[in-house]
Amino acid sequence: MRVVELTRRYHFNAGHRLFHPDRDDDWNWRVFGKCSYASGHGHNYKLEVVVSGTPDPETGRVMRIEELDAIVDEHVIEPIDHRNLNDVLELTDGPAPTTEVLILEAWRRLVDHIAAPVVLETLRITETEKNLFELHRRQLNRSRSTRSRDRPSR
Amino acid sequence: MSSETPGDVLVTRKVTFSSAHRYHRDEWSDEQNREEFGPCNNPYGHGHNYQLEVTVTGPIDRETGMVLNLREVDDILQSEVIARFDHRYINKEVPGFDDVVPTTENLVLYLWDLLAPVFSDRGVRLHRVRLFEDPNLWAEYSGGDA
Repeated sequence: MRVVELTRRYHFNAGHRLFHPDRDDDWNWRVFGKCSYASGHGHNYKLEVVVSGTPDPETGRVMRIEELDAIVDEHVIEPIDHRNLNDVLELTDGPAPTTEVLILEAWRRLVDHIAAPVVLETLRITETEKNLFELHRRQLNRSRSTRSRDRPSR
Repeated sequence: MSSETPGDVLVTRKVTFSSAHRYHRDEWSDEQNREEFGPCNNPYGHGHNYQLEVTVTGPIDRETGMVLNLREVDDILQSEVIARFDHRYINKEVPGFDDVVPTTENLVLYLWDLLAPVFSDRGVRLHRVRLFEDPNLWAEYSGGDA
């Protein structure tokens, strides 16, 4: 059977501040620049959720869009929209809600709610029209997707 | 269920530059050039507003929560791409195109070769280079052979 990818686009607005609480202001300014301003700022985020599966022979659908909407709404949009990401994210993958950290958390929130045989294939988050972040499914467990690294930044 | 772990995050930055180019092969007759390249062969060249999407990937730095600081990406794209291409006539002013037709395909391969080692030096992997000549025509390359 042939597998089809289905993409649904969502929007949410959220505030954030990129700031490492254990580093001094100089370090934060060097690494995060304007994104570290004390009172934070916000973005109109676009989220694309891609699921894949074989269209049901009866309905012709990979998945009921209403069901996907309900899942994304409950686990991502509702808890995040018009909120401060520094408050509502677990920040498992970094000290601040960069879009990298956000997309990994969105993946964890969604992946187990997409019922087999449909799978979560890809997430894309547009932070501004100039930045796009993507995460694709991998079949095999890879090495941890974070690392500690001493890298100078500007 | 947990076998569906995600891979590394892909980070894409979009920048624009404007350049002129002309499709022409010196060793061909005018007629052959005209037949192959059509209006792209017009003698004084023409221009585009190019949009470049550069995608890098790698593990997330736990200190910063980032794959690579977008300011570093911007600096690289400014010095390697914008400075070289913006408001230039590619055939005459960009090294490497004296004998290579500056099609979008060739540009994307050139940009890959230019950028891959630079990002590699910064500890991330260049994942994809996508170049729009205009909103309706683009080429992309993700490395490797067919």
